[in-house]
Amino acid sequence: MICRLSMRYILVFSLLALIVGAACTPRRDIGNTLRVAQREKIKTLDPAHANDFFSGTAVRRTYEGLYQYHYLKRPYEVVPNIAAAMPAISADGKTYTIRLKQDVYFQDDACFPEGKGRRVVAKDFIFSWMRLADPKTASEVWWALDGRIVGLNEWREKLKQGDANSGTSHYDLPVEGLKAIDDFTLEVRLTREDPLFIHMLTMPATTVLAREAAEKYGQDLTTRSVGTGPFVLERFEQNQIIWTRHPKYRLETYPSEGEAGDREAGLLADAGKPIPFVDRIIDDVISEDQPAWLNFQQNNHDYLVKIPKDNAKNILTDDFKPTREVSERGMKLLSSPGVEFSYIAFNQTDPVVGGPKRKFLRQAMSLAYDEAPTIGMFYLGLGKKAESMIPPGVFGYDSEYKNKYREFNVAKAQELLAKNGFPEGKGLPELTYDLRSDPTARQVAEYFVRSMAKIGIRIKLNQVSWPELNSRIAKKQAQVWGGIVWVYDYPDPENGLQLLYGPREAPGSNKTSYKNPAYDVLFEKFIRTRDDKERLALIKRMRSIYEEDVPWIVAVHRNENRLTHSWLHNLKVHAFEYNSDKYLRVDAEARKRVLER
Amino acid sequence: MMAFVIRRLLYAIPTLFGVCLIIFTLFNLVGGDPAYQMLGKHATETQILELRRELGLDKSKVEQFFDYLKSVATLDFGRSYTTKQQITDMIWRGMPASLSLAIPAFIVEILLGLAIALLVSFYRGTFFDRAVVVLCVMGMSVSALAYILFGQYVFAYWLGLFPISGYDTDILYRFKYIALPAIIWVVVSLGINVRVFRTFVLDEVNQDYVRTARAKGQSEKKILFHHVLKNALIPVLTYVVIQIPVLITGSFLLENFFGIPGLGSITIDAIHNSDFPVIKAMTTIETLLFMVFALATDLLYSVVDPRVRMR
Repeated sequence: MICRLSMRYILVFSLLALIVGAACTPRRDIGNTLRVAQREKIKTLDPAHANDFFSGTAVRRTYEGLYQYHYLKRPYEVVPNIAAAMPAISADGKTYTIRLKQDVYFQDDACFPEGKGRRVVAKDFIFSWMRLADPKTASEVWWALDGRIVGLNEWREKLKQGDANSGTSHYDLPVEGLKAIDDFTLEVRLTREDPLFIHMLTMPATTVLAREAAEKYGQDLTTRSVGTGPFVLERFEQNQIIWTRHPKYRLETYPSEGEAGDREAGLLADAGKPIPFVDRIIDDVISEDQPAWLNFQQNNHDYLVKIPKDNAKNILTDDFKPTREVSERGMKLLSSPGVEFSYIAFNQTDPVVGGPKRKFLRQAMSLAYDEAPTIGMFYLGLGKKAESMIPPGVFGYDSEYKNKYREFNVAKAQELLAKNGFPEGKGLPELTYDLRSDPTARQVAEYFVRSMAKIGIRIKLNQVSWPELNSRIAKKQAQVWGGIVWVYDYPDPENGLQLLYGPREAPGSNKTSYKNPAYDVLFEKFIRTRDDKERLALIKRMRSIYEEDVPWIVAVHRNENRLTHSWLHNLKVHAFEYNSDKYLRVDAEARKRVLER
Repeated sequence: MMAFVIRRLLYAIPTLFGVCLIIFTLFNLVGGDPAYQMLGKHATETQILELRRELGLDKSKVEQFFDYLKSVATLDFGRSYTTKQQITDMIWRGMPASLSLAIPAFIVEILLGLAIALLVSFYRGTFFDRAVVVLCVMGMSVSALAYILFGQYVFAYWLGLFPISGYDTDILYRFKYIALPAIIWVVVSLGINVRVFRTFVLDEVNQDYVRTARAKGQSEKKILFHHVLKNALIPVLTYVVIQIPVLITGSFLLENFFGIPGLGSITIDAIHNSDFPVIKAMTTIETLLFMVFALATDLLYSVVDPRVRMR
């Protein structure tokens, strides 16, 4: 019978079977599970290599540090995590004595005797930080401790010069500035008074890793985890990561205090209750906009990181408010200022645009660039024009401050251009603007070209891959570049101000290679100052210097956005607390009702 | 036959060398320095120098090229710069996902394409033939991305027939995730396949043996399905077999949009991150597969057509 059927019928039947089979496959019960759409791939679970937001988030699900940021309070405040209290700091500010909680356990894993996770002790932190410093680890986040702890850099140098095949025995060598007073007391001696050190102890890079795990799994820790945190890795796939609740997680509770408005927003309804609330987390990696938005609409994810730009019309109205459909379905748009700024940079070593001689040219270009329309055009109206490199939410941010070269003033721009010897742009060679292959970067660049054309400056765009752009900037080959954002690593103005510190010129973090000795002196004083009033005065003085020199055009502070469903509770956008998911509560019944509709 | 195989395998060496040279040159011209990419925004000059030494990027280009050739010869590509995972592990993990999508889609695509091509050849010159050709041209003119966006929106979101995206390592659940991208794959490929296969069939239709068969009074149906199809299989075979390496290395767009953790998305990530070890592993594997399957095609000729002899 079958033999007589033509190939066409077999194919039609096959296709129908495929469709019916696909549609009829049963839907699994998800229970008290949090489902998240991650917009980029998780590159690693190894704390020593987690140098992006998405890897940092994954690391902090399972690894914990001594400190963390308060979930609700703003400005951001450091609070204990594995530490029992804030550190006792010596009078000279150089010695930190940190007491550890005594009920912190590593998760069960084959690397421990009988597979049972042991208690965390002070030595574990010493090991973890030495591993970060180990040249063999080749950590991308070593900068967090580089030069800060007495003897740690020397230990690193010794390893570099010594026998690379000496196994892990070098971890038994002492580091002068790291001492376990007893199992639960860690003493850290710093190379100098360093108010920023506490922030380093909140970062994924400085979380605690068991030596047994590092020795057993080595580089395979990139896809495994043996932490102390609220979640344990169940499965790691390229497109999906699944976490389950850590059964031996200590008693931690939801915060009882927040900032003004948190109680009214329902963010304190779970105050004092044990965390985490969910039993399981499923991270689906969805980098494309359409599937991310459609999945969210189909209730397959509880919240969405980043608003899909291609679908913005379905989410936001023309005046940048949530659409009626979004509101009617109980979805919420949470948007708060990101701790970051975007910029258009000038290579200060370039003979055409760099250095003091071309200050007026840069001032003119800054004045001719009207930023205000770009927020609606490129950032969905969810952002704020930047006046300086200190964003809202960071100490030193001044909402009243207006940068005199960030107003839009074409006449003044032309005047300055002429003052620099280029009346109406005449005599100025065509400039090259480097950008990465990205639609928004391209749009910003085209707008910049159009803006500069108004004062007679010609600009040629050079679109390259992201790695190539990085190389060109680091090698000081780029002349003008844009479409780049500096995201703060910690909520201290130093993280932004160091970007113009002369000794850190490219390939260091001072990518423009800006050099002004007066600025450098002030910066060096700033990083040693703890008094807020004095710090503020120094910020203002530094600001007036870089405002005049215009090493870059500060552009926008973009917002950090989340879309959530009505059954998800306690979500508050946090720029630094990577493991916010431990505070989230899913009303599984409410979600089930919606899914059954 | 054996001499032919050995000779072809020897030819493969300069071909592989040439491909390696092109990849190496391209990567060094436009790939950017991986050290800057890996160390990120806080990198210092010392750290960059250390990492470049660690990765062997401080060696001369000639030495680096020979290191690359060595890794190709031993098929030991080391670890990814970005994920630090063993590249062989990444490939073994990604291959089932790519093949889960590619194999059913490819089989249906080829069989359906061939069936339609034979059908339109049977009715050649009629309105049906012309209509199918016009539809094929229209289908080929639409971008694959448009099919993906449309399919995902209409069939997955609006009609709810399929999941919007995702993948499951469990075969029972995987099926429902693979169905829609597989159908889109078939639709995207159908236009070009029908046109190519139709050309192959029509080339045969004008041969002498077809006229002889007609003179002997055989039916058009018998001529087409018994004589023409067999002879048209040689170019079809070349066309089909040479596509197999691409199946193994994955579909970039479909995998990305449907969240399938296959080799296509691994390759795209590697290009974005200047992850040279992964790029060289993927290109080398694809080149080797191309050469193996090209050889297999030649060998299969003699099976399909006994007149073909390997010398």
